[in-house]
Amino acid sequence: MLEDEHLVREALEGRERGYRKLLEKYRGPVYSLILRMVRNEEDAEDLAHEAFLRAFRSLQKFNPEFSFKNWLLKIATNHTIDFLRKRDVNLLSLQDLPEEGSYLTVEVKTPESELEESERKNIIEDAIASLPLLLRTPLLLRHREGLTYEEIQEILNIPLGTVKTRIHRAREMLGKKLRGKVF
Amino acid sequence: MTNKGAPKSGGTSMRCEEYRKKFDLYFDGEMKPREAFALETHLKSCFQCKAEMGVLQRAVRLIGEMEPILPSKGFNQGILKEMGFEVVPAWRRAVSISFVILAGTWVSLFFPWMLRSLRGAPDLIKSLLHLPARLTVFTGFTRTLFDMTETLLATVTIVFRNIPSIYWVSVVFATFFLTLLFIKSLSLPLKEVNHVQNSL
Repeated sequence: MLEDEHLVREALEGRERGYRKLLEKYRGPVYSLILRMVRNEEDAEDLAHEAFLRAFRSLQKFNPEFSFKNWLLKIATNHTIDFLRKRDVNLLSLQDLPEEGSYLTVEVKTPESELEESERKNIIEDAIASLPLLLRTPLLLRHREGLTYEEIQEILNIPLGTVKTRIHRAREMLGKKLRGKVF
Repeated sequence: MTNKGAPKSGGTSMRCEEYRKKFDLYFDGEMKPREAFALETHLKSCFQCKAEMGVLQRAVRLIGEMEPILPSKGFNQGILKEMGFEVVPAWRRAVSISFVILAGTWVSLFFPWMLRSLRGAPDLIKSLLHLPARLTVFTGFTRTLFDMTETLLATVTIVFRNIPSIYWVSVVFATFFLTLLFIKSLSLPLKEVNHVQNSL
């Protein structure tokens, strides 16, 4: 990501263009991830705003050998998790996960051929939103942002085995939510 | 080709459960070729596992295709403002860029005519150069006053004769400085940022 390195350098030189370009490039991924984590537009916007400010104000600590996107996503997810933890202590507990077989399912009765792509996307958005936060976040990082397990481990600061287990469980739950439905 | 793992009726066999547990490895490409071949063979003959895999594959593909959601319109401006930058609204950027383009086009279109009108410029420069020399010649107060008036009148005459060239020189300089000013307004450097970052 040479372009990012260049933009970061511009920003460190105090040029507005560097900050503006980084914002334009990453506001979508950062805001989307936070919104899908908190499921509230107002909170998501505040959190994304604060995450960018945090990142920009500590830009000198950024190591250009690593990906700027991952560094930014790490700041954003940590900030969001802190926010959620303060709001609801139990929210991040794995104990509140639904038991096997008790998952909510997405009701879709339209035949597959008639199902529009946009409808499928809505279904998947709903299904992901109903996943517990601890499973939803690594799943989005893996399949939406296309990160490797090692990168997710670095971002979420959890062991590699835990990352794999959570993604496995997230896929399993997702499959169960959608299983038996025309999807 | 028969498959021992495939359920005979609509239900799922133990073998199916085992295969489904390995879907993850298959997704991540971490399955050994031999195991992957076995799974693929099973999928060909087991409708339920095939359907299950299909759902997961579509789900994963759709997650990847989920469009990024953008924050509200003023999101970038809010952050840049808080970082201490003067926020330049989009309309001002558009006006500035249009101005620069128009000014450039205008000057280049009229440049030949402008050069022609500058023909009288050497006289003006010559006169201006002689002015201090004339002013320093003192042969009495009246003479000095006369000389000064004469010089002044000559200068004024030359200035008026060269109005087009003066006008065009002013236009070129004004365009140049205004263009610089507008370009500068597009990206204002921030002295504060490094100070803030250093203090962290």
